Amino acid sequence: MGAALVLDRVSKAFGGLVAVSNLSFEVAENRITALIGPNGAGKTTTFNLISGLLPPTSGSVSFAGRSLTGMLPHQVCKIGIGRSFQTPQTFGEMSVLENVMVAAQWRANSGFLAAGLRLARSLVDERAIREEAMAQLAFLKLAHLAERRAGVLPLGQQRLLEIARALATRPKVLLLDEPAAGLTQAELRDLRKLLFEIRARGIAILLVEHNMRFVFRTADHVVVLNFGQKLAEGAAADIAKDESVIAAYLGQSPEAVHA
Amino acid sequence: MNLRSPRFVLLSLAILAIGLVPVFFPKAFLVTLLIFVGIYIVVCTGLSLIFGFAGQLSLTQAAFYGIGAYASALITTRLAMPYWMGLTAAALLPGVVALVIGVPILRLRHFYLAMATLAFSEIMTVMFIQEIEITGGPTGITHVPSPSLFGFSFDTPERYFYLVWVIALGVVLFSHNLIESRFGRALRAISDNEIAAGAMGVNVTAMKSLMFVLSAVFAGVGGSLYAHFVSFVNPDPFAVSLSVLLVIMVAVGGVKSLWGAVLGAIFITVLPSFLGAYKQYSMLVYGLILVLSLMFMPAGIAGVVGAIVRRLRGGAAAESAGRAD
Repeated sequence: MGAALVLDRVSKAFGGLVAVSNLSFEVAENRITALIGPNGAGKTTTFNLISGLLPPTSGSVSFAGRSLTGMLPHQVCKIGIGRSFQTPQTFGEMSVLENVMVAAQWRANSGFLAAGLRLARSLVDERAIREEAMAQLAFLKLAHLAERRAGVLPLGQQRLLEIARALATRPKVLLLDEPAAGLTQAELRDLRKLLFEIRARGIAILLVEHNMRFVFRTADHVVVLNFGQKLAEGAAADIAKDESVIAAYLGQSPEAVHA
Repeated sequence: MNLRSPRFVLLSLAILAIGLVPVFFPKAFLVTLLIFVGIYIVVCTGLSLIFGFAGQLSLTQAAFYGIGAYASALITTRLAMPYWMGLTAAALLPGVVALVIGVPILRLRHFYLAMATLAFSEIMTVMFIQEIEITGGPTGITHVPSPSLFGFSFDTPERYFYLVWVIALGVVLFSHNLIESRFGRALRAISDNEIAAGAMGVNVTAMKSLMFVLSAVFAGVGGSLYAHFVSFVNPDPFAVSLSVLLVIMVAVGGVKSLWGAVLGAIFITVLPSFLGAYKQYSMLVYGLILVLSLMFMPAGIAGVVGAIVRRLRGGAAAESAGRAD
C-alpha cells in the first residue's frame, strides 16, 4: 500500500502557541485515515497546512513525492487534494449545480477570449463541466436539488454538497473536516456507505471527526493528536483498544465505543 | 444568448432603434450625447468587470482612459501611423500597465486597494501634466485626426457614432459572454467565498488580475474613442474625479449586472445637460445620488428594473395559471 500524502515532522506555531508540533504520518492509498483528538488538538490546523491555507513553520508535506511547500490552495487542489470545511463553506448565493461546476472547471483549458467570443471550444468545455457536475450530484443523490440556491439547504445537505464539490475536483486524496457532525443516525449510516464507495473508487480519505463510534466503524487507520502532538497511531481496531488513548482523550470506555 | 429568445429580439430592436437615431434625428447635440454614452459604456463595462464582478474597487479607470487617449493620439499624430495601430496601442498599453501594477496592488483588499489605485491615478495625472516632451503638458496634443478604417473615414459625428456603438456593443457582448462562462462563475465564487473558491481550484489572483487587465483595456479603447472624437487630448479629463464619477455611475446603475454599466453610462452622460446653470454643483449632486441610491436601491437601477420585470412576469405567470384553471 503506497503512501499518497506524507507529513514529515510538520510544525505550526502561531506566535508562542504551538498548534502542531513535529507531526509525522502518512495517508495511504485505498484507505480511510482518521485524525482524532480533543478540541484544540490541531486537527483543523493540520488540514489547513496540507491544503495550502497556512504555511508550516517547519517540516514538510508532500504528495506522491512532490513537496507542497509554498503551494497556494488552488495548486494543492490541482495536484489532487480535495477538501471540505468544518463549517460548510458553500457558495451560498449560487445554485447547487453551479457550486459543483466551480470545482469541476479548473481542468478546462479554453481561454477567456474563447469564452468572451463564445467559440466552440469554450462551449464544449462548458458542457463537459456541467455533465461532470451533474454526475457528482447524482452520486451524492443531490441531483433533484441542482437548481436550488446552496445557501438555503439544511446543514446535512450542505455537507454532502461540499463532498460533491470536492469530488468534482477529481482528488486522489479527500480531506473531510467533521463530515458527521450534526447528522442523524440514518444520515451517519449513509455517510459511512458513501465513504466506502469513495474509497472503492481509489480515493484516499483523511477524516477529522469527533464522533468516535463513527470513526472506529469507518476508518481503517487512526492518528490520535493531543496538544498538537501525535499521541498514538495504528489500525482502528488497535487504537480503539488502547487504554491510555481512551481513558485520557476519548473519555469513553472501550465498551462504549463498541456498543 | 438564444437567438430566438424574447430577450434577444428586444435587444435587437433596442440596438436598431439606437442605430437609427442619426438617420432620423441628425441633431448634432443628440448624436454627440449618444457618442459619449457609447464611450462611457465601453469604460463602465470594464469597471463593472473589476468592481462589480471581481469585487475590487478600482479608482484608476480614468488613468487607463487617459493612457489610451494619449497612446492613440501620439501614434496617429507624432508617429503618423494609421488609426488601427493607435487603437491597438490604446488597448494594449493600459492592459500591460494593469498587468504589471496589478501584481503588487491586487494583493491589497478593500480600502487599501482603493487607496493604491487612487495613488496610481494621481501619479498618472502628474505624468500627463509634467512629461511635456511626450504629452505636451497642460496644452496637450492637438489635431488628433479623424479615424479611418479600411479606407472608410469616420469624419462626421454621424459616422463616428456608428464606430463607437459597434465597439460598445462588441465590448458589452464580449463581457456578457465572459460573465456567463466559467470565468463569471469563478468570479461569483470568489466574491461569495474566496477561501472555498481557492480550495476548489480557482486561481483567485489570476482571476482578479484578468479582470483588472480587461477593465484597463476597455478603458484604453474608450480613451482612444474619446481622443479621436474631440480631436485633442489634455490632462484635465483624466483626473481622479473622473475615476470617482465612473465608480458612481456603475454603482448607481447596478454593480452586479452589465446593464448597470450601460444604465450608469447613460445616466451620467445625460444628467449634466439637465443641471444646466447649476453645473458647478455637479459633484454634490452625484454624491447625493450615490448616497440615496445606496440607501434605497443597493442593487442600482438595474436591480430595480430587474425586480419590476420579475414582478410583472410573476404576475403574468400567475394570471395565465389562473386562466388555465
